[in-house]
Amino acid sequence: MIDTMGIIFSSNNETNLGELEVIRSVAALPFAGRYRLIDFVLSGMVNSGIINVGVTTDYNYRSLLDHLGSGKPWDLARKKYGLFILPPFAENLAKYDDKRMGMILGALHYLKRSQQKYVVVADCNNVCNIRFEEVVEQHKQTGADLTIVYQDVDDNRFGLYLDIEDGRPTGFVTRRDNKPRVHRIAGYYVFTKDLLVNILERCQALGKNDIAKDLLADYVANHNVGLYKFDKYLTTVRDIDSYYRASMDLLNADVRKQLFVADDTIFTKIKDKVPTRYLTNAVVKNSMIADGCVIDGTVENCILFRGVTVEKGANLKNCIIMQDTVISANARLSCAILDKNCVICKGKELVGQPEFPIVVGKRRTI
Amino acid sequence: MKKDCIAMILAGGQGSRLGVLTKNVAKPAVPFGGKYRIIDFPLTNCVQSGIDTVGILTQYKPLELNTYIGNGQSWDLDVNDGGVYILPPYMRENEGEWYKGTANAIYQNIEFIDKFAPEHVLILSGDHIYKMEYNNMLEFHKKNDADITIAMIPVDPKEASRFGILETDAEGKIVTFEEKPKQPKSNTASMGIYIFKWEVLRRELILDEQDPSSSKDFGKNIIPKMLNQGSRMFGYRFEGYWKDVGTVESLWQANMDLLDSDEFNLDDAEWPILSKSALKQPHFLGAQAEIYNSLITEGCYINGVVKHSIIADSVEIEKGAKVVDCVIMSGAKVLAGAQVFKTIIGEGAIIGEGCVVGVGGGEEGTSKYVSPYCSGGVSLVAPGARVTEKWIVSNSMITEDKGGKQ
Repeated sequence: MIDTMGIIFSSNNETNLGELEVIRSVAALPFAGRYRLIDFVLSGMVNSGIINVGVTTDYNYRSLLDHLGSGKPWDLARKKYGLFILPPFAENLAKYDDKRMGMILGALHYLKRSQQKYVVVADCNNVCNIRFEEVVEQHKQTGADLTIVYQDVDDNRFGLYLDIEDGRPTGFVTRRDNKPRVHRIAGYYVFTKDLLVNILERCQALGKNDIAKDLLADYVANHNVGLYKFDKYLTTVRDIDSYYRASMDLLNADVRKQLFVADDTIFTKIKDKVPTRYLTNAVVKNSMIADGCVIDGTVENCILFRGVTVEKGANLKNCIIMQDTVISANARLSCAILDKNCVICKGKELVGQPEFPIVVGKRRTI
Repeated sequence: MKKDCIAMILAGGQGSRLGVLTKNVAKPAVPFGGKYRIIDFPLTNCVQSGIDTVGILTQYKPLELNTYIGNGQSWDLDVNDGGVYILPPYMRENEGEWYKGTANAIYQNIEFIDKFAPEHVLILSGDHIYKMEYNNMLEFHKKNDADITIAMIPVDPKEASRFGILETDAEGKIVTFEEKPKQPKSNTASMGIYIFKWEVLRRELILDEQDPSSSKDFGKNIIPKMLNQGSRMFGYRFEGYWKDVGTVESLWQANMDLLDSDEFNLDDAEWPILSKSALKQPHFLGAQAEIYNSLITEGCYINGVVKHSIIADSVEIEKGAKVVDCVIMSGAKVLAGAQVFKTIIGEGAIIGEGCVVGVGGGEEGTSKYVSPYCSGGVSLVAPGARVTEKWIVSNSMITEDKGGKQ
């Protein structure tokens, strides 16, 4: 898909992950033991043959830059095109209520300069394994100006929902209180680039600043908008609750099968960690464990990231433990999310509830 | 650009003592320790020692090794000036020939080495597991103004006759060298790691090539001849873990060492073993999994019992299956209820439901696969083989074609 480029928003206004998000953009949020959220959408683009990807940034993008580097793990360290980090314009961040509008306007020049005819514009906070190829193919065949990826879901609390009549979008709203099953916009769009650039320039001139109300509404009212229904596993991380639930989804074999597809690898920064070492007292059930851990305690229904240590007698249930955190002997943890490089000292207890997991920020010692 | 020292890795041997493991790959490409291949160890040593130009001499089934090395990116060897080069034998204007011996392999690549005009050349072999700072040896070599420096290590006296055995004087100067002696004079063995002054080696290689009686081998020809000539030859004492993995049993043992001793630590933040990652999701342990003293890596799905074993990426061990003292390579499957003991299972092999491999003898077990390649009770299942026999005794080698089809 040499004719298609990608733009990824590294954050948006819809996330609230508290302590986990203070130190990093949501794109860099660790997920599934060895990945960060952006890996899923970025790999989806790369696996679809997109070789020109811009990642817009917001505040606190150090960990994102550290993760993406030159783009090598995604084969995006290239002579022509490749990975472009689009740093924020201070002016845009302050001016636009909708961060994404500021970000995409900041990327206008990059959009214009690229030779591609189509552009996939994507949020970064979905977990799914999507082939954008198929969306772009449909976009081309139908001759649409914009193709919106959506899902039919039961959860109507968050997001942007489409009204669909006769297979065409007629409008959208931000909340759906009364309907049990709704069409939710998945945060992935395919635009025909030239028209997008025109409309963005007009938005800029008129000071319009909301992706949904201004940009998408304009398309629905005045242009040819197509729909693409994605019916494989997709979940959106917005807050601690949805992060926790998305992580626990990984313990479900069917979800893993839909996310980790042999030919559609999810690429990530490679650390060359050693295999995980299980010692003689390890009891581990129903858990996803990354490389480089040393486990001598009990672990059930957990996600352990790279380099986690679980000492003898420690007991972990329903927890998410990020990179290089140490759980000392006889500590007991239940329903907790521990950020990177934490230390839980001997015998300490942390008990959260499935609906209210405890979050421990980066580098904390308890 | 002129280099101080470049490395040449001799990776041409078939490694036939590894039986079916090297049927389709060269020995340096044989997997080790769950996510490595043997070649990762010398390559990591080079990179850790600041050597950024490495030639890999290969002529036996090089496809998998070539694919694995690629452009050297995994070892940070994709650099502008230098990098990693796969060097197979090639045709010249009038003739072309296979590498006839270790010395001849280097001789055939004189042009390659000359391109970098190094002061010194480090010769390595691709069949040992160890961590070594070659820089220290190079310093020692330079300090002594040596023509050649040979790394040496004490070995079990019983094994000494398998190695080049040498003796040094108080200053470290080599006084005797014998390749695979019947009656070894000491147990100090050559590790097959040499640093030569390139101008000296270049001259010796050309002379040796002209000698029709020479078998073109470093240990048999070049080194004894240089010693006779009175060249400046020094022995560099290496201390640390160094293991030959040339046989099925020693490969199994070296893997088990990772579980049983702290002698060789893979998990060293200052010396990470670089390798090409399988890029799989973290492994998953199911509700029936029982794990005891084992190493497990990415992409695996384990729902059976795993004890004292090394499990490489993307391996599946089903419910009710039991794996003890095993080394399981990438993508292999142990199906429900199967039991495997003290066995190396090759890449992508499948142990059928309820099959038993690698235990006992007696009349019930099938002993027709017992093989001279396998010793010490270690069995081997070929890459891609499918085992369907009910019970196969230890010391067996199950090949792809036999596979236990009844």
